[in-house]
Amino acid sequence: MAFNNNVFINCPFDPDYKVLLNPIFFTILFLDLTPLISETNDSGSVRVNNIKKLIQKCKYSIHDISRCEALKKNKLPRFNMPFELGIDIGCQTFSLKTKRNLILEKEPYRYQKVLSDISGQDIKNHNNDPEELVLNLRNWFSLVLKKNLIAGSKIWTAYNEFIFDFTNQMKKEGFKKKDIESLPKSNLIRYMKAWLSGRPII
Amino acid sequence: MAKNIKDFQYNPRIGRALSNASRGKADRYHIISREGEWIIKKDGNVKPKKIYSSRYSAIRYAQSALMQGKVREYVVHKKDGSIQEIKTRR
Repeated sequence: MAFNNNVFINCPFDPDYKVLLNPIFFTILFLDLTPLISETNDSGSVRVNNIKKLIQKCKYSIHDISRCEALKKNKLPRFNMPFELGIDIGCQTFSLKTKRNLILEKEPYRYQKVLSDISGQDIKNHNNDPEELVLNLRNWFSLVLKKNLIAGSKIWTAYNEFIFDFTNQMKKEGFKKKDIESLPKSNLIRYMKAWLSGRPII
Repeated sequence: MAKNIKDFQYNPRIGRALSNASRGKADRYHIISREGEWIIKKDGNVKPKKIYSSRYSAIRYAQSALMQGKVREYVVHKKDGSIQEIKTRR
């Protein structure tokens, strides 16, 4: 049943996005789902093949297209996120019809100027606010899982507590702030899982 | 000293410590931004102890509780969940 629990995350992995990416991981784990990301540095493999395999493995996908813009003046924007979103919608249309995609944007209707074809999909705005993002994710999963889930505000406060315990523990282990930020995402996910495993069920 | 590659691998001992940390209820308040307000929540509790409209008022309450010995420590979180400040009773 792994397919039904897997969530593909198509988001930027740059340091500036960490403030949103970590709450995404945490919320998915809190809801007893499994986040899957493409974190390969294997230059020998074709990256898009890994992405396609991940998309096939996941019933749910989170696509954040809020960063599809040039990060600096005179630089080109990156289009990996809308490209992977397109693959996923194709997979849903022609093969795995039960798949569900959530598209995240930073402000309402911005996508209509650059990617108007996605109208009609599930699109939520996070306004670059991690708390709003957690609430949106929880509400969307409540809808697609057809379950009355724990309140998003409780997930958000639990995330804050996790941040404290995690930072505290890593500092005890001799990790500096920069070291903590350099941890592979897959390991951060495992630490989140470990922390959640100790929590009493609410 | 910078960490070596081995340290960046998953460490089950750290995982166990995190699991224990979330299981226990420490003598600590968290000041957290939530839905436009600032809540004070005791570590491990589900419900907030106090709710304030401003961060300043929440910190004042926590400071007073710390000085009166009602709590050993309080943590002020930024709006993104990261840690702004930790105050511990001496």
